[in-house]
Amino acid sequence: MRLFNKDRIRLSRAVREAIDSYPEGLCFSSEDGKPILVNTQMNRLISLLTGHTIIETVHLWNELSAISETSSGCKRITMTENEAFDINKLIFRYPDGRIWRFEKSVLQSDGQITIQLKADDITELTSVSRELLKNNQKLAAMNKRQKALLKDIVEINRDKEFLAAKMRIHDEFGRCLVATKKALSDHSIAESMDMLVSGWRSAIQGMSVIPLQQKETSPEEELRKVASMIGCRINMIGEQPKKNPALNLLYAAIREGLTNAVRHAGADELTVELTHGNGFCHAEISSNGSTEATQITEGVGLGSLRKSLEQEGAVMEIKCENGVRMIIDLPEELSN
Amino acid sequence: MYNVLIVEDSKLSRTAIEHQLLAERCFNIVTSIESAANADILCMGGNIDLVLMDICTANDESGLKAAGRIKSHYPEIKLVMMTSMPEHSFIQKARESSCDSFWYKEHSSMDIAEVCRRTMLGESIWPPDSPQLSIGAAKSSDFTDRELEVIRELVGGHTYSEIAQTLKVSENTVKFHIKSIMQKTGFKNTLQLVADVVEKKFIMPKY
Repeated sequence: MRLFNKDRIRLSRAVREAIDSYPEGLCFSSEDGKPILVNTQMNRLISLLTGHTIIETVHLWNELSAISETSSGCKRITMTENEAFDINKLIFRYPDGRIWRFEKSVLQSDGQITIQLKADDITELTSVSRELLKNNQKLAAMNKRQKALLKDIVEINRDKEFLAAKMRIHDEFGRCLVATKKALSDHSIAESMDMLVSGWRSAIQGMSVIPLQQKETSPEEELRKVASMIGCRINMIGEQPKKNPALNLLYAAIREGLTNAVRHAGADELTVELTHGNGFCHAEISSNGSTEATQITEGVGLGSLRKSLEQEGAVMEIKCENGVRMIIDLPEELSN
Repeated sequence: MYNVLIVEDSKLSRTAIEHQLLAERCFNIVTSIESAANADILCMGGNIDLVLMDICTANDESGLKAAGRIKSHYPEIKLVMMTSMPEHSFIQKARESSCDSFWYKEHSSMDIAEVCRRTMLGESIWPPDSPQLSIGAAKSSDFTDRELEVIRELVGGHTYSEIAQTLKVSENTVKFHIKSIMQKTGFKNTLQLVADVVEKKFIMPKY
């Protein structure tokens, strides 16, 4: 019996810590609205909207649905003008500018029903969705805007993937809660302890791997890492182009130089010398590999690189004097 | 133990995939990178058994193109293509690049670890079709192959005469296809069509 109580306290503490450390709002209640577990974030968000913490959830949802604006400065909003109305979703802008989406759902397990309320911070998602709407309007006026829009689509999708992953974590919490509740009501907590602890650990671990922000790609950092993994060091001398189309083309050339230097000349060091003048970036790519080659036959890789460069007004020359040297003149201002 | 290279620009997806594979104990993650352009360089190292390749990667680098390069140089490396985009042509393009399997991040019933394990055992796991979308009043499966080619050209911002040249048909044939597309979708003009197609990621010409 003592062991049973100890296990129960340990589990209860683990659940409370996990729920409270979760950055989004969470509330689980029984079917009649009686709260089972509410985290501090959810109580904070609800207090700002209603002036009280969660007492029960059935009337709470009706109360939230009736809010258009509160004296505390919270305001009910929609994501976009065309968004379909969903009675189980409510969105509020808080006085600090953050936008929270509240969602009500029903979890079922072995005939037991649990009501889940969750609140997701969708400030970034709202911002990109509005940007998307604006872009669509521009698209109607100008076909050229399509390229930029396509880029936005990829970024917006990343944000949506991020939100979807957060929602999966919510669901995992819900499943753990239902299983824990069932074990408690069946007095089988001791027998189910391993399974429950493993479930909660998995939910907590899942939460911990959600990165707080999505890191921007650094092409240089990744290229250096890749080169190092195949045993080659890149020496970069001079300033790289500042704008992205030119920078991407330069990196495409370095990748091609790196591949050829390692594959055909056994190089372990690649040197990229960059100078600037007359609106061009002049790049010379060479290696410390074999100097035997006197002539280069352009294969698919080099041919494809030459085509990409020439499309943007760049010039590429390959010299085979004391080793292979790739010489490129890139216009600094390229159309995107 | 299989050595795996993950190419995925979303940190979240990357971390989740790494966790799922490491839990299997038969996978060793050599490294994870964000740009498909660097994937074939790493394959040169000779210690990669399996590449998990996202289609839309950092700096707009196409995983499909990288997969083609990898398979032409290193056919023995297994390649699983993955995406969250419902673009209708991705499955076909992945087949043309000789990929071994294909996984939809949000629409697959099978988890990625199982797809990888079965791929390494010689199976090819492919979804039957891309996710079904609504384009105006039409379903994505309502369009003919030719109509899809015409929509792709419209998304690229091309005029009717340019489309006719590219598809090697007359301008009247292009107009005929566009009229049919408009009837199916109920859109009043091609700009509405393009906006809907692009927003739903049904066609992504960069990839």
